[in-house]
Amino acid sequence: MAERAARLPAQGSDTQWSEQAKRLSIYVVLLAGAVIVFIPFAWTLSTALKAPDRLAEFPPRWIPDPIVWDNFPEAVTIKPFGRWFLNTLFVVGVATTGTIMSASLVAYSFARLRWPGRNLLFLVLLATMMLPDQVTLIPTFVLFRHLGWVNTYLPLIAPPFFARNAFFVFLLRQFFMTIPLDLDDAARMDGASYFQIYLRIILPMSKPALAVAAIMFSQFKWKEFLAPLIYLNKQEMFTVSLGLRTFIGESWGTEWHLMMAANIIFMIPLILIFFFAQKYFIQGVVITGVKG
Amino acid sequence: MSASTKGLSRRDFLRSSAVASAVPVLGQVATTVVHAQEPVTIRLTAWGNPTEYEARLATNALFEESQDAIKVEFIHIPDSYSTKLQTMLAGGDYPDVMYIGNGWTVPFVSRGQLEPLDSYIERDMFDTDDIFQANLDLYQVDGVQYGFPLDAPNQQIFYNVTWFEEKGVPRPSSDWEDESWNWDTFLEAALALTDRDNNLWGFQVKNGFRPWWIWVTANGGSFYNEDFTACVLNEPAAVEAFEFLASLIHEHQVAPPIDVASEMGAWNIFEAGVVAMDTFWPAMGRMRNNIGDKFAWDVAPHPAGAAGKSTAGGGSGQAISAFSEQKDSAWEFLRFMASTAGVEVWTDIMGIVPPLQSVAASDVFLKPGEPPEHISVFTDGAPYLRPDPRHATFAQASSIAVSELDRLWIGQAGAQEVADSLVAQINDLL
Amino acid sequence: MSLVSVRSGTSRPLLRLSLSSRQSEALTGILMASPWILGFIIFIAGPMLISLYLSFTRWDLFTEPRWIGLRNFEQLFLRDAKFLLSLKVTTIYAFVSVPLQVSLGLVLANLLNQKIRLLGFFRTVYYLPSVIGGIAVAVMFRWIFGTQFGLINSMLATFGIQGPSWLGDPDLVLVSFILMSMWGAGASMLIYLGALQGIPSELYEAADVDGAGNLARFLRITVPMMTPVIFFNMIMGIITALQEFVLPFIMTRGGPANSSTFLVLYLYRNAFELFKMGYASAIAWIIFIYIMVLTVFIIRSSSMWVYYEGSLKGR
Repeated sequence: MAERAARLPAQGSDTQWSEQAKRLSIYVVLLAGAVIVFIPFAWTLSTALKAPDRLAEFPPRWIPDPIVWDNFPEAVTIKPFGRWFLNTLFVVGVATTGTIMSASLVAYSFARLRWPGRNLLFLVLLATMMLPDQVTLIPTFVLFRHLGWVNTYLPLIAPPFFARNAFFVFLLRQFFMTIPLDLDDAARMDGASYFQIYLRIILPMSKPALAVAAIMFSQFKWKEFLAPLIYLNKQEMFTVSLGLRTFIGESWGTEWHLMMAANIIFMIPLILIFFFAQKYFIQGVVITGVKG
Repeated sequence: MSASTKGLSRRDFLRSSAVASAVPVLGQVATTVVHAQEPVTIRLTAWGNPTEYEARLATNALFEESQDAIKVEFIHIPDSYSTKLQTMLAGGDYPDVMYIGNGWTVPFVSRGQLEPLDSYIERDMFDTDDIFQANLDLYQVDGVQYGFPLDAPNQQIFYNVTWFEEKGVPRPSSDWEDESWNWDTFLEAALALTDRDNNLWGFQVKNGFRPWWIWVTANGGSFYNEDFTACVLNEPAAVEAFEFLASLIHEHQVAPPIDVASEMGAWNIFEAGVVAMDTFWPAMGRMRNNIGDKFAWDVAPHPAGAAGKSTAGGGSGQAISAFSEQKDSAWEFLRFMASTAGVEVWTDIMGIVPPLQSVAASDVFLKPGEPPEHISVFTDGAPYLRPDPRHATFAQASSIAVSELDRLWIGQAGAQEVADSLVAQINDLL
Repeated sequence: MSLVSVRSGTSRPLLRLSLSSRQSEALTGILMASPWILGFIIFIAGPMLISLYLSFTRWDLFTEPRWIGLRNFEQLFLRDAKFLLSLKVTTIYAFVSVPLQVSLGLVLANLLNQKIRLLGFFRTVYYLPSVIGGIAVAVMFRWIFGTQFGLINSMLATFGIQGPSWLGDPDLVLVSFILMSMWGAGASMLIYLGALQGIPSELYEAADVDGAGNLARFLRITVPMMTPVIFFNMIMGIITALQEFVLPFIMTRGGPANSSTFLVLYLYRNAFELFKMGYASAIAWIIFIYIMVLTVFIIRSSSMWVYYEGSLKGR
């Protein structure tokens, strides 16, 4: 699509002019939207740099006076933040690997193979997302307790290997269903097994989708609160999202400045992951070069 | 952070003296308790912001130093405490010692979760006389003790002294018996302090239960009737209190709209010097840190209503799980935390009102030279404490009352109408 | 790709292949789905069934659950005004915010799928709100929508306009929540972006030949090719919107006057503040059935509007 847009202006100066006006308007729209979207973050940053007694000023100040850079070191040294960070990297890394492996395999089966009971089971798969967590919390806890998994990372990292998060199976199934079936048929004719088709055709063709799934899952896991809260007892084992809640004192009032500073540090890895992974969506264009 | 370094040296001193004083007590214990070679480990669940976490580490370490038979495994639950604790209890994963809000005593005891302490108190002749009676009572059900308080907080008016002086308004009396500080003089002061054009307010009305409960009880109102067959918040005493508070927002406009408090947290608004008077429970440590020398502040009782002065509060305490397998060790921990040694360290780090009268009279709490000047308002107010009503329906009933009253605070309905409506809903529960 | 040669290089008897393949396909299908099937049996089915059982009981978390048949459901639908209010509030929120999010995400994805400068920057900025999500966003919004110190109102104040009480007015609070949910459009944008990469460029080239304009190309090619992910975003939108919890929990605690008591918030209160887990389970299963009915409806209707390039129907 992008290549075509670049070709069009050659057609004449009139279209060239209108093309440029259109382009400009796109930038204006994008920029305006970006400002609206960005305001909350600017405010977060501004708050993270404020002194505690300057939080409720009226009218609000964008540039704090004084600027308290110390909030950042204070926010992260206040607890074993570095340790939490490593724990989170470990949990997110293992769980994301597990989810991508299992969810893509299961999604392939749901999307492209015919087997009895498939449609019914697919509805069951969706159904697992429809019941609020709060009411399965206690039975699930009892289960993990009997497995001896409480106060270990297993409740956080083992279920992803069993495609526990139906969201990602569903997501990948939808993507896989957009890939033309001729490719599978052709490979079958050549004697390729279904697993080989999955590995050699479907996965390589689905890089953008897998990137989307990996980004979304790692962010979900990075922010996950309920499971770490319930299953992790030792403070050294906390994940960042759990440890950060320490700043939200219900009866003491929240230490906003520290919480916002910690939040920014908490967000940075997620933003970086996204920034680098989004390049995969441009490469997608190459795949469509497949012709029969 | 000069305040914290100063605190540290004193804390170290306290710690060493505490160990010295705790040793003899625990010396006798060691002979009566198990003679295990291996120390046992008790599990403690507690919430805690950074300050409270630090206080826990300090008291746990102190307890472990004071004897060598028992170690503490501290399960820190930074948020959603009830969700995790109740999941653990329902799932059969019982901690030995639990940090609980006083309001949980009745529901937990009625469901068989807490261990009665009377036999332990008797066996060890543990002296509870030094504990503020009103706070000790919060952990009693039908005369049986189930826990000990860790603090004795009650809610008072925190006020900005500098602001009062600038406006030439006389400071509220810190004497509980001085009824010249009443609703009329309070309103006068609030009017003189308010400067709406500059967004400066005399007082802040809050929608939580206790901040209005103080005014209701000061006017002679109650929540339930005596035999708990009806809610009586629609009787004149309570309705007048609601009307008065609502008039502060709407008629007199000395208090900002109700949602301002939840916008950033009432604490920040007071600390920023946007309201002159506000109702808080005593987290003095936080106030001292955040206000610093930006302005002078002090505390005073709420003004006297038709029935005199009043305060609300409760605080938190510790209890032993009925299913603990190490109740004797858990008891040792509980009584250590209720001892002078434990309470002193806890008070020093937390800046709360201690549950022991002796510590409340000592410099550990009074901190001479540091604000608030009239800190004894908290301890003198003990007889005026009107604890939360205790009934099985209270949790649900108070949440109904709080959400119904929203309509009054935002000016959608009158006090009597709202009160009648909430009473009807609560009576349905009874 | 070498697929062309793969196809021409085949030399097996076609008949034998198709006979055995039916069974081997089914077998492989089940085998490949087995991680999830196993996980479902081990981790999910038990707790779900237990909560279903609990919905027919009175259970205070600690003492034995007591079977009371349909009493919880009767109570909820016949006598619990707060539940009915929360059902209404949640329904309005879901039915307004989901279509808005789905379409806003689609538009954004298309805008950000062109060759423009600072593409990575724009994509990152628009996705930012989804990166943060949950509690941090809720906390920020409490400020932004604040009456007194709030960002929106202080900006309005500079124009001499006195802003409303966004979160303090029962008539406005839901509008505020719907506005906030728009910030989350970045997540659906990301999914659309992924899907846009899969649209074969020859389809557009064919349309160019036909002289189709931009709008026509968008409506005739992009949208139909995106229907599988629109379908996905709709179902997921409903599943998450009807279970919204964090926004009201952090920002309004369900107030003012219960006007933002969402279903799951009400469920949570009953379960963990009022010790009524049986009642809470009944609410949960009502939510479950509600979402299920809507999902089945969308799935049923999907044959009319969702287009799968890789559909098995034709085989």
